[in-house]
Amino acid sequence: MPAPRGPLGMRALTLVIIALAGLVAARYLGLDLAGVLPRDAGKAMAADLLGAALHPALDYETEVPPGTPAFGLKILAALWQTLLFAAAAMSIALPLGLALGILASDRFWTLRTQGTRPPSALQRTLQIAVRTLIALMRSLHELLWAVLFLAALGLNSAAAVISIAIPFAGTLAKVGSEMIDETTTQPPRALVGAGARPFTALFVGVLPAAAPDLLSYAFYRFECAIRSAAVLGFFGYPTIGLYVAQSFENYQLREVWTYLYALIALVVVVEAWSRGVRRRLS
Amino acid sequence: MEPRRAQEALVTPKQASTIEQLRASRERSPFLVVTAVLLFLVAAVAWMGPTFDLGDFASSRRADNLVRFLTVDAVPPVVRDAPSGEKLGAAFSWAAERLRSRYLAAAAATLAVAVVAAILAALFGAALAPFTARSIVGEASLPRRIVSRLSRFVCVLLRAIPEYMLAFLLGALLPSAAWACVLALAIHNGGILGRLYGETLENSDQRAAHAWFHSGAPRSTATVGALFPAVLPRFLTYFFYRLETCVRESTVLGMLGFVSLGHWIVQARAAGHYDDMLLAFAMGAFIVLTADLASWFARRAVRDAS
Repeated sequence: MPAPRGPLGMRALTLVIIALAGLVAARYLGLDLAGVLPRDAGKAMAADLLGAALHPALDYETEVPPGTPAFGLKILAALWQTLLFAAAAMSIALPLGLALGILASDRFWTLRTQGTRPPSALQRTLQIAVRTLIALMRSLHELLWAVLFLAALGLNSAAAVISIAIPFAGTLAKVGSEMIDETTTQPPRALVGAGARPFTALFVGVLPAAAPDLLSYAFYRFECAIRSAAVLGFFGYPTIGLYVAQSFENYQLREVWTYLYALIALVVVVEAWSRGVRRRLS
Repeated sequence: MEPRRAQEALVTPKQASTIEQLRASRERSPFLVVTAVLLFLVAAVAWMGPTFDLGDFASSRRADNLVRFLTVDAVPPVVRDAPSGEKLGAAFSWAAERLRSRYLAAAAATLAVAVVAAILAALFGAALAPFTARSIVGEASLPRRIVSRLSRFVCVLLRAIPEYMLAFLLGALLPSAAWACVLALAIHNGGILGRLYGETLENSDQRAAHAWFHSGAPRSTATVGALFPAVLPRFLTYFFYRLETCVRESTVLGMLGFVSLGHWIVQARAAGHYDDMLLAFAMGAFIVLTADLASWFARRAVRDAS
């Protein structure tokens, strides 16, 4: 007897809709296959860029003014700055995201009553307000927050850190609240039944169960924060993106690759580290 | 004080020593401790070192900038000049005109880039998945594990460079700025999906594929014919998640010169028209929220159907 199947129609329909949307979008953008390959001036540049990939610069490609730090040191300093921006952003995003994630979760608001009666209208309003705040924080890309702060305040690295922290806190809160709601209900129920206060039940019965997943995800977001910090360099902050953009504008393509390889190496190291953390947490 | 005394009464000395034993024998990982300490130190250095000038951030000059931005720069001139009773109407007609002339088309282009990119990334990821999976249709030999290790590393490399930087480099090479944005998003997200799709294949129910394989179908046929249909709902779910991030990312890629929302943001900023810039931001937030909502409905429909 064949296994019971869901209506395939829904899945097939989803695939057809996606394909149609893709075709319409490609038409709208005027994408044609010829556009995938470089033409004319782009061809020469692509050849230069690909050639440079095999020979990344080991020293400055051109004469530099005296007093410039050695090339290797400059790269390390740029990577360090990138790390500092990312770590500072995460140090705001993680506690803020956790707090908002708890307030946005269903579990938190039902701790006291253990689901025997629905949350009051005031509690429900608060939860919806927090969820709306999270959605708004996430709705602007970190670079848009950065541009907004540049326009409103001027160039300031603390503002750059905050511009990464806002959407990252929102994302951590959204994912975190889902992880909190996925934990099992028995431990907090037992604790509350034995007379524990709701906050004790939260910190002893709920958060430890969600902690491994939360920390794994937070580590992945740290990797994302490194990439975002790197891109902030394009807006004048002293992270590695600044030097990628500068070298590219001076057509020092071999230097561009050295910076790119340095960034890739940093991400690979963080990813390997993150794998180690995940393995020990699970 | 009251609850504490109650707690002491609840635990006998014998129980307390058992609890203490359990606590002492809990699993501890030096690696995790070192990681936590290192991260804490880096964050502490970041905030206390010279990198971030918090004094400058909180200075009166910044506050003046902010006040000027909110009260002067962010207000459209037509609204400022309108008599006090008609300001709201003036703001509406100004916004409507801008949406018609620029931002609706720009938002459509932003969405279109994200849709094409997410589809390419999903196809790319699905093509990578049979390689990144550690075991597939019973096969978990040494060469298989080497291939899997290598292709996972390729996935990390693909996602290591931020989309914005990829688009910047591709934009200089390709004749079509739209393709540069699409490819940048597709490469980055293809790397992410290659990894996720591979893990999905590993963890999926492979019985049907095994049946195909043991009745003589080549492993590749069994993978495509029996395994992919089984994991389609999961693949679709991940596709919609990545579509959300593609829309978010697509709002900024236009800053590199392609005519979408980001392009108008850069134009407005360069001209000092912060009112226009904020309206483009609002449009960006609107399409990101809409895409999140649409993706939520789509994911639920896929889940309910499977």
